[in-house]
Amino acid sequence: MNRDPAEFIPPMLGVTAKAPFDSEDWWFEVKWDGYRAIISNVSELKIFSRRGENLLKWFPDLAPLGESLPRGTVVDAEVVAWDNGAPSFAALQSRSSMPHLAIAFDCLFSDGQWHLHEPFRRRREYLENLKVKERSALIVSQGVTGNGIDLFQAARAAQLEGVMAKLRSSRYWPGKRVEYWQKFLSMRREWFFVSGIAKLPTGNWQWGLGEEPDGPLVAKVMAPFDWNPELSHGSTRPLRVEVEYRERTKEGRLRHARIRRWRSVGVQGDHGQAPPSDRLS
Amino acid sequence: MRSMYKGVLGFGLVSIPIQLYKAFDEERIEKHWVHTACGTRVRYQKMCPVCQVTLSSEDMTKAFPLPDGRYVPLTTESESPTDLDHTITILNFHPLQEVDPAFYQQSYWVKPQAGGHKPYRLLVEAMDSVGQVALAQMMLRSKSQLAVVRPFNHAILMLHGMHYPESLRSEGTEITGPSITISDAEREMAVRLIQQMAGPFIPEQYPNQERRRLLEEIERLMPSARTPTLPIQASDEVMDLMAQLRESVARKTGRGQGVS
Repeated sequence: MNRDPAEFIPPMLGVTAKAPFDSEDWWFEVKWDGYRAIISNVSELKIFSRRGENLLKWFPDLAPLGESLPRGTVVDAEVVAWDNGAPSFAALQSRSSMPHLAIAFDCLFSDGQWHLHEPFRRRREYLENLKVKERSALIVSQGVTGNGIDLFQAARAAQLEGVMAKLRSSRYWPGKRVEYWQKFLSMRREWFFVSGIAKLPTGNWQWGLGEEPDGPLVAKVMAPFDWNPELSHGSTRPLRVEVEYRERTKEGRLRHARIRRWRSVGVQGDHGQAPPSDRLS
Repeated sequence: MRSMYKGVLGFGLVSIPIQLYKAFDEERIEKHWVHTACGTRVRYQKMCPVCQVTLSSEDMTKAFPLPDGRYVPLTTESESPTDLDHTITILNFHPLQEVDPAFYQQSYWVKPQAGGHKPYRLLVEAMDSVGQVALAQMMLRSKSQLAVVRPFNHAILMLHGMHYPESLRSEGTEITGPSITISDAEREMAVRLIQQMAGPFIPEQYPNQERRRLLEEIERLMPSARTPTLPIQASDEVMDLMAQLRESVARKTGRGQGVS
């Protein structure tokens, strides 16, 4: 194979599972809500987005990954923004001052060899054997074999995005969406309007959300810390918000709602600046 | 209040031990540059643009630039040899109003130290009674500096750092317009206007509005205050979270060996 390990390789994509399952032939690990990234540390550190764009430009604080990941390695990973003990897609999107981490879940190249044709379980061994610097911004994903349903329930309880299931005998299919990788998603996602704002006694802002700008309230959420109505000069409303939630009550209210990303209608490029649709989906 | 200078005030044969304290608060509000991505305070590094290397203090020499592009390197001995001299030497006495305010720089409170209280008091009262202030020479922060030492409120001494008169740029004294004639009526009107706006100087009349505005703005933005974030802490939290999830799976199935 003549693929250059210093160049972009399109990542392998998965499908959404009909339902979570258990199987000893499968590996299960947390699905982190961030930007998919191919990290190549061959001649120099390169972090490619799902479409091959330079993610280091967006997250220059990830430059020390060049020291965390051994030279001559290409890994598949998810870049996340870590906010208050949990990954925050909203913080990633707004490029706010959170630490960024890369969670590696596949080893595509090491020891001068491509591993694309080897089964996932072998690539997993290569990944575990990498001499990754401890307590750095590069973390090797941990998971379980067999117990997909239990892991999914634990991830769901921890309010994580879900679980990735990977067939342990499958090779790596660059750029292909195949059923050897399956997603168990714990949250629903939907766009809503901000129908009202309120300032709490703490000085923080709260948003009321509705299906329509003046529709009935479906949820109240804390406004993003980088949103300030006093700075936006009243011209940025109405706001559109993508919300992640567990389920709806009988009355249609959202349970466990949280903001995933948001947009001010008419103020394009404010929070639409992140790399284009870079999700592992 | 922290003293920023400790020395002696030399007045003839008398040496008065004193300390200097800044008389004014910093008017500028302290602001730092931080890295937007992680909130860490930016560190400045000196670098050589030709050799592309960052430099430490032992790699650098102070030099005087010549108009033709050459540099005269200075040695450590070229720097002020009297740096350790902490004497404020009184040279002469002058009437205060003869020292133009243009020369004044920063102001300091002068506080007498043990053994200096009596000569200090004597100097305050003597200058007060003859209406004269002391012109002195001192070393301050490795620079030679002129200073005026004068009584303040008839009880204490204040020291004003001064510019050297030779540093005054001459072009200012040459600013003159075309010849102009002013009528008596115009002159009277101008004087009347000044008299209408005249009054005693009350310092409290002149608050620093801009400083207040910025402090209020900071107060308002307080809810968005962030602690600089450390990747190590975040990394530990991810590891802990993954370990907890695996543990909970192992607990449920009761067979830890399924977990690798």
